[in-house]
Amino acid sequence: MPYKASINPTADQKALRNIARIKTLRAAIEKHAVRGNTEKVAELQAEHDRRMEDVQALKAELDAL
Amino acid sequence: MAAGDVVFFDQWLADVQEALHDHEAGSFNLGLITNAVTPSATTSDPRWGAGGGTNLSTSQVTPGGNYSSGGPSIANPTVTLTGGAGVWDADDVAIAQNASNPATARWGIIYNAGNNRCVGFVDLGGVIDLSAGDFSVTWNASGIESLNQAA
Repeated sequence: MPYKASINPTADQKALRNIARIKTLRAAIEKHAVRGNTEKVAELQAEHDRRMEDVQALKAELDAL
Repeated sequence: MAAGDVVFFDQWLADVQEALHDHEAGSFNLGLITNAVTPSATTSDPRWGAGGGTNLSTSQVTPGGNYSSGGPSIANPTVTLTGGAGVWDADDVAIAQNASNPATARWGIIYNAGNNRCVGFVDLGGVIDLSAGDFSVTWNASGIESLNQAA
């Protein structure tokens, strides 16, 4: 079953997506680490870190309110 | 249909059982096409190129700016088992605004860049001018699609 995507998403949609994708990436990284797929792990880790930075930036904005 | 709706081609249901797609190790792109055609689940053997029943690449937008022929990669595909379902997900797709970007994108075609077999399509909701602003497709928080046991 395909899921509905967002075209030019709002900030809220991006935030929800970041959190969900981080969870997925952690599961995928764990799977590929067990399999020894170091190249795939590195690629997924880079996306994970980028999304974490986005989430941290949003948190910083909220903390500054 | 509405903006953001994702539909998988019926042909994909057979292709995936013939191991014609590896949704994690494979390379997938999002090719943009105009409103010259209207894709549907029943589109006959859709391909991004010759060799099948429907060559959707013939309706591709005019490449230029930050859009190269074939469309951007759908990077970092992942397959995870979540709550009893096999979930396919990937990084989101973004194309930065550029005056030379295509101006007539209507549908996004998800296809396997390794064999040009199409997976599905995204409804952009209307004709989008990528020269007028940034463009992005953000997949659902639940992923692109999931497969589970029928009830």
